[in-house]
Amino acid sequence: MGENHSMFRGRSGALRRIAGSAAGRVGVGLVAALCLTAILAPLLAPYDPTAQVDIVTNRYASPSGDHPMGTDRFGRDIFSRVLHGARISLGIAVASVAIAITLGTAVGAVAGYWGGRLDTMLMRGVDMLLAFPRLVLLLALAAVFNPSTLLLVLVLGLTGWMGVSRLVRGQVLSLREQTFIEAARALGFSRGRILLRHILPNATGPIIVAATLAIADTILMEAGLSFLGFGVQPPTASWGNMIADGRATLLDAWWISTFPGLAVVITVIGFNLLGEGLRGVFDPRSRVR
Amino acid sequence: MRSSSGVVVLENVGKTFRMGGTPFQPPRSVDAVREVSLSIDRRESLGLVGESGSGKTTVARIMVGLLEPTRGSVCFEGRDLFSASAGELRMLRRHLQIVFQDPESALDPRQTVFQALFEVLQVHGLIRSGKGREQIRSLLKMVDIRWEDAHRYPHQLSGGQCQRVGIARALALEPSVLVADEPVSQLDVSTQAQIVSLLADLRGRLGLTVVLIAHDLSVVRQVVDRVAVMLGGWIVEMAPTEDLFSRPLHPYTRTLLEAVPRARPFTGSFARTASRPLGQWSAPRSPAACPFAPRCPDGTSACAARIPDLAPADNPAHLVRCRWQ
Repeated sequence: MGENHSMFRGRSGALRRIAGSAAGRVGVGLVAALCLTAILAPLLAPYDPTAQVDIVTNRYASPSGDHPMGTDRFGRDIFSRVLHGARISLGIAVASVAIAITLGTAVGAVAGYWGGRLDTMLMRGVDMLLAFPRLVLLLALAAVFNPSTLLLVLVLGLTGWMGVSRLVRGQVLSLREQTFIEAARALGFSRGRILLRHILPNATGPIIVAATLAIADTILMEAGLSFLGFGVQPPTASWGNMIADGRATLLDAWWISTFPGLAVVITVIGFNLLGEGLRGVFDPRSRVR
Repeated sequence: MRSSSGVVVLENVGKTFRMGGTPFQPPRSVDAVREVSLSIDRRESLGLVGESGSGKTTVARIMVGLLEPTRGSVCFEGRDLFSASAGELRMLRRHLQIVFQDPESALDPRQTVFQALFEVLQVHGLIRSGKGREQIRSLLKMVDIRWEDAHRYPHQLSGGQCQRVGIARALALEPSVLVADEPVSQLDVSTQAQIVSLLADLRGRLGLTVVLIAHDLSVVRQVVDRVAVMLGGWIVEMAPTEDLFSRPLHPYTRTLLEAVPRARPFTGSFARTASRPLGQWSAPRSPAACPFAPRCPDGTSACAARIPDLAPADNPAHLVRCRWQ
């Protein structure tokens, strides 16, 4: 007990705590590196990702000093394209997960806290939406509308919130019965304050974990859609359409699909580890003393 | 019946909980509180005792407006809590504060002690400009929490400390009534005594009306003016503390008193009644039956049919619900 407990812990405390676990450290490192890559892609990339210089001599070049990850059938530098693809893939995933989390949290919180018939109606609606195969819905929408990045973000976001709303509702239902919520009522706090200041903050752990998992999931989904040709349109580089690009020559020019594929794997692992680390930060009870 | 001049007046309060009730199964109902009428005077300290399931916690929650009774009314200073609007009720609650049984879970795990107290003061606009820190410091001083602990989280505090914070938080609103719902049952014995004497001390200093709920008579004995004994949702006996301890009239009260550990335990009628089960009783068939009838040494079929009214016994302040008194 002699430890000098920081009286005014700031956000830096959160970073220090997340770095306390090995998984958290690796997760933070990977995600930070990915974000930096995405932001600095134009500076880091040795070539223009869409430049087709000298297709004849330069196409299908295997990894070398000039092209660390080789080139594709148009002679474009894979390394540059993977770096630029990080922007697209991460951007789409983060934006659509932000939509999904916001919507899911709002619906779940309202359903769980107000309860009654509103809860029943909302949750049956969620059941109906969940019963709809997401991929088929996405393909149908992509077929009806002109594929664009904005459309992809909206569609991924608007189809991804149902799981979150169930999770949040469950959290709210169990938190609502806790003594400290009853205490908050006894202290005369309004319903809105109780929900926003006491219930939701105590549900952030699972929500954050869900968000990181959802980012990983959405990156895979975006890659899948782009692979099928309904996502990000060429010549813009996304990991998904790059993997699709290389599938015909997988045996002869393995590097075309492999490097963007590795990027997807590393990103997914990074976000999962980050989620694990964040759980420790957002739940003070799990902090080791 | 006492005059209804009390600061808190419960009149014929009853609470029935409905449970289950799916389309395939009719709901079951449990009468947690049968009929409780109670008038608590200003600055009085009332002990509410009884075994688990006797309805005392339900009465506590009804008393502070957290739970709406199925029947009857609750008035605070003449105003009916449950006919007030939601906004009015929130303002009335400021004067009726409660301290909970499980001290740690009564505090938001994500708030430090300081944040929790600050929020309470802020919501009710009680922070005098620039003085928030001082106000919190003096609240903590009142319950003997060191200032160094103000920036700790509930899980970093002991149960006794959490309970002190819970008390400070309730007192931040300067309530006139403080209901303590088994405030010490989850604390170890040495801490129990400290918390009980803290409550008694604060009551004297702040002129509080205190309702102290316990399952253990020895906890309330030193600090309350009057004791109400609850069983099966009824108040079976209510008397000034000394009367109750010197002349317990209801057989259940006698059983409770004999269950209190003493220096010389095997004297008196210990063996006669204490050997009867004190735990869960099988529910009497008639809903109006005396809940003690199945294990009462003097129980008759009349007791199993109907519990008598709460009536004065040897003096007007000593009320008992037993046909033998």
